[in-house]
Amino acid sequence: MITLTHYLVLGAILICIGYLGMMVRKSAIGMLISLEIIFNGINLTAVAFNRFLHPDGVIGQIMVIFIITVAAAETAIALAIMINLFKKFKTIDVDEVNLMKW
Amino acid sequence: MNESTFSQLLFYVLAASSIFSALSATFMKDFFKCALSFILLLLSVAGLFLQMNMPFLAALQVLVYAGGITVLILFGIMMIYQMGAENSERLRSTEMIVAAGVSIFSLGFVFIKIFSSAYPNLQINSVGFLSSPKILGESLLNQFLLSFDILSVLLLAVLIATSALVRKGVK
Repeated sequence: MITLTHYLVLGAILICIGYLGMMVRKSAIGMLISLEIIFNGINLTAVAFNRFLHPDGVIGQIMVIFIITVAAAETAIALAIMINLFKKFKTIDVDEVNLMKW
Repeated sequence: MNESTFSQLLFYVLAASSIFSALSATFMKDFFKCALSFILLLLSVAGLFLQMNMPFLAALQVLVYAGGITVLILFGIMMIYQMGAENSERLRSTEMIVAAGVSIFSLGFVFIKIFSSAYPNLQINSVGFLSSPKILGESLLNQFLLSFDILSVLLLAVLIATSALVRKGVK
């Protein structure tokens, strides 16, 4: 039988893979995809808590809906910034972009 | 094969495909393949939502995430590589060791916390449970009305900001 532990372990593994990607990737697009993997781990954990601990409530599902909305907004902004970045620096490698570094 | 064995098998297949696709989305060189395996991850998570009897969230995940966000990401990849970037990257190797150590350590910590918690063996009890969009919508417009409105203002702001960021002649 599938228990809450299964879902929590899977969510933790997804969050850690996303964190690894955030640290390892150099390009902004790869970091964006890793961020979305972290969001998926969080969504899975929230839904599992909602389903197993409080099946009559909706707060985990509402949280997932909000996270999906914010992720869509954030992806649109990130791609717009990336296109500007590429126009200015001819690369999307985040190590090369050091305008605010001194 | 009874129903419990089938749901167990389904969970393990979905979990394996989501972990595999997350790893390949993280470590593939080609961005296009990264985005495609990211779509596989989203579909697996949608399947897990379905297994938890939440069809509305699964549909939302497929429509908004797998349908909208990944199309946006693929569009961005194609547009940037149309402008002449090279379609591969070298991963950081020093940070890889540090980050792998940190994530294995924190994963172990989380596992200890999960397995020593009070409800590790909680099972799905309500057989007839089905999350309905009606209840979700009602609580979205009663209890969470303020956050709902803030989100709609956020979406409007993002719409304006995106079109302002990519307009012609921006410095």
